[in-house]
Amino acid sequence: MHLQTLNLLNDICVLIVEDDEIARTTIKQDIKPYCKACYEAADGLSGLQSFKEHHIDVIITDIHMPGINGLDMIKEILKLKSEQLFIVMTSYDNDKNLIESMKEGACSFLRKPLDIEELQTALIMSLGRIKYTTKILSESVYIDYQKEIIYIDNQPVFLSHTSNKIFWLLSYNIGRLVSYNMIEDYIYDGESVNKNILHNAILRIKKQLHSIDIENIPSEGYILKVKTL
Amino acid sequence: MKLEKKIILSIMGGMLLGFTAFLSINYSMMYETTSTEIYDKLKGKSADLTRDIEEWLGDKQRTALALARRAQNLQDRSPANVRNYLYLVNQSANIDASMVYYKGQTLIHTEPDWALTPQEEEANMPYQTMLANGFNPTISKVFKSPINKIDNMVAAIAPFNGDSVATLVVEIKDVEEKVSSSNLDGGFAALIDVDRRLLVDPNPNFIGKKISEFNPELGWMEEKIFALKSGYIEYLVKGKVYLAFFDTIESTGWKVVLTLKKETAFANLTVQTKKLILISVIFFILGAIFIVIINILHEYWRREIELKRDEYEFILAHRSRISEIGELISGINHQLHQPLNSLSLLSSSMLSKSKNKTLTSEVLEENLIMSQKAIALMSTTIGMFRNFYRFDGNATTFCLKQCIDGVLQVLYIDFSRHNISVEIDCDRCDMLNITSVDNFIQQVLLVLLQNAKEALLMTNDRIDNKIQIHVSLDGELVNVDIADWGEGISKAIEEKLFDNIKSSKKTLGSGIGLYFARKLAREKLKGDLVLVQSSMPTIFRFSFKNYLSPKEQNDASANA
Repeated sequence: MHLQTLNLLNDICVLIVEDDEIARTTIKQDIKPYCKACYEAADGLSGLQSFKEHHIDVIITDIHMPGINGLDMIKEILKLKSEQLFIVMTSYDNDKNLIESMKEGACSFLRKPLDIEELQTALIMSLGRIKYTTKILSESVYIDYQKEIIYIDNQPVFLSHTSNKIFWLLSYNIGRLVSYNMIEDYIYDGESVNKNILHNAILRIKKQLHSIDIENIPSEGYILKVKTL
Repeated sequence: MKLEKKIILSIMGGMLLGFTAFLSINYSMMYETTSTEIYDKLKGKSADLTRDIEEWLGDKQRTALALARRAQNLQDRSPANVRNYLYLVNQSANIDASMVYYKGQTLIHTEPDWALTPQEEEANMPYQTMLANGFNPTISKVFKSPINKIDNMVAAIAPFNGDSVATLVVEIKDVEEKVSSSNLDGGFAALIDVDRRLLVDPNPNFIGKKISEFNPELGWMEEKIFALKSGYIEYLVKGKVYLAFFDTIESTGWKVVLTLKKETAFANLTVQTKKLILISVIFFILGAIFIVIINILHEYWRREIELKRDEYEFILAHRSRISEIGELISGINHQLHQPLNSLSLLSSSMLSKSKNKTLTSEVLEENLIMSQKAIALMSTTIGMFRNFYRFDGNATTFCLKQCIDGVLQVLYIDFSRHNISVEIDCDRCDMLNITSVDNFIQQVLLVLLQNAKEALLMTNDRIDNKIQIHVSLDGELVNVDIADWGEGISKAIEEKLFDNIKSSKKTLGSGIGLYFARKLAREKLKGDLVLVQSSMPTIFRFSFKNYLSPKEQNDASANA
């Protein structure tokens, strides 16, 4: 594959989840030089962890792994970010059926044994599927999903670490309920957090981005709504 | 086998006992009846005989009385005249001799020579007897005929006018004949006079003698006969038992004794009993033959069933093995896929880099080393699977940890797909070397782990998706406990957990597996497989000897 083509990957962040060390190292070897960031994980659990910590555009994952397997990891991630893109490496046809029944469209499949160029091609193909480059939330606020930057009146704004994560969690689920549990899972590693702390964090976000509409559903969670202009 | 023999023996014994009881009851009843019959027969005969003799004697007595009356009323008491009457009486009543004694006068006898003086007459035995009897009509004791000294005679005496008497002298031959000719099958009749001397007996040597004289041992019998009016006696002579009934003739005190040889009396009973025994024995033999035949048939059917069961077991074993192979093949698939995938990635990566002229020698070397690693992995995998299906049963010395790891690698694909983790808790597993048949151990572990996995999958709200393997040493036994937190095993299933018939589960490998796993553990590894705890967690304990002696190794490899 031409280097120029590979350079198309410059803007994306990739997570490789694969328990076989040789395969993982090889994939990383051929992808890392062309990406903005490349993370790796040896099983589903650390893959999930890595997803929570970083902004990831595409996750390349194996299915059969110790601990949490690929399938369960995908399920967990899709709960938090339904638009997440996956490239699934599998040796079995029935695995494909399993995942397709779970979520359509967001995954592409590669059959083992893999050819590295197939994988690179799949990555490039997925570029086109990163749909939400920007989204206008209100008359003054819009966000860039890919770069995870918030703009107020075309000026980038930066939120504190926690606020930023909560905001992006809400943004990934625009129009859908983000439950307290999801927030706890995503930001606080599943630990139970006092609702007041969450509420204050939301208030701070609202204060900074005053024109956006975050609705509280009592004892359930929050919904970020797009204001009709 | 032992039990069956016991059953047969007890049935035979029961039959024998039954027959014996039946026979003895029957015999005793028949004996009773026969005894009564004999008693009645003897008693009846003796009564008849006694009556006949009484009648005969009474007849003589009556004649004597008639003579006495005539003599009393006679005007002409001259001897010639009286003698005329005596002749008349003798002829009409068939009397041997008759006489009249007028008190104080010479005796008038039918034989004129027999003219006794009053003194002589009154000293005579018949007169004395009557005198003792208080001058009542009397029958005298038996005496020998004064003429020939052989024939037995009695005198019938009738008194008149106070001291005068009329006397008839009669031979008792008639009576003797009556007695000796008395009709008694297998028996005889005897007549004993008041002096206890035998008047009639089939043995002529005994005549005129007392029983106690010719057979002192029977003295008691003589006593008894003369102590009682009538009675029943059993006595023994020369080893033979005799049954006797005796009766008394009132007028003379004679005794009539009717005797039967017991043997003869009971001959009929013996014959019948013999018949009965014969029939019973035939029945018994038939019964025994019947039982033996039944037993042989039963044995035959049992063998048939056993044969069928063996066949069934063989098929089950085969199916179990096939399904096991199936599991392993899915394992091998993954095990080989992984390094194959790595190799594919590596070669394509190098090719790609080479085309782009970005392949540095460091990267090349690194990738080639990784390729070799992948190849080595494939080689191990193939070796491991081949080892798993080595069925020669040869014992080797190996590390238990590696053995367990081998099984886990085989199951890796399946377990990771279902998110099942396995924890091994073993202190010195790495150091623990065992001399046994490693692939048999692996096969048992495979069955147990598969079962644990299935138990987890069947449980909807799993507490923990993990299987724990705990290894401990107990003397020369190695215990491997396999625990899962699945739904547990119900009481009903627990009872037939290790039965070979159980094949309720959809996958063949698990249901039948335990039966063969236990067999393998017991027969080849000198250990066992038991359920320690049925739920929360479910624990199976697989134990095996840590060192199989050469002899046990032979056992293990036999029929492997």
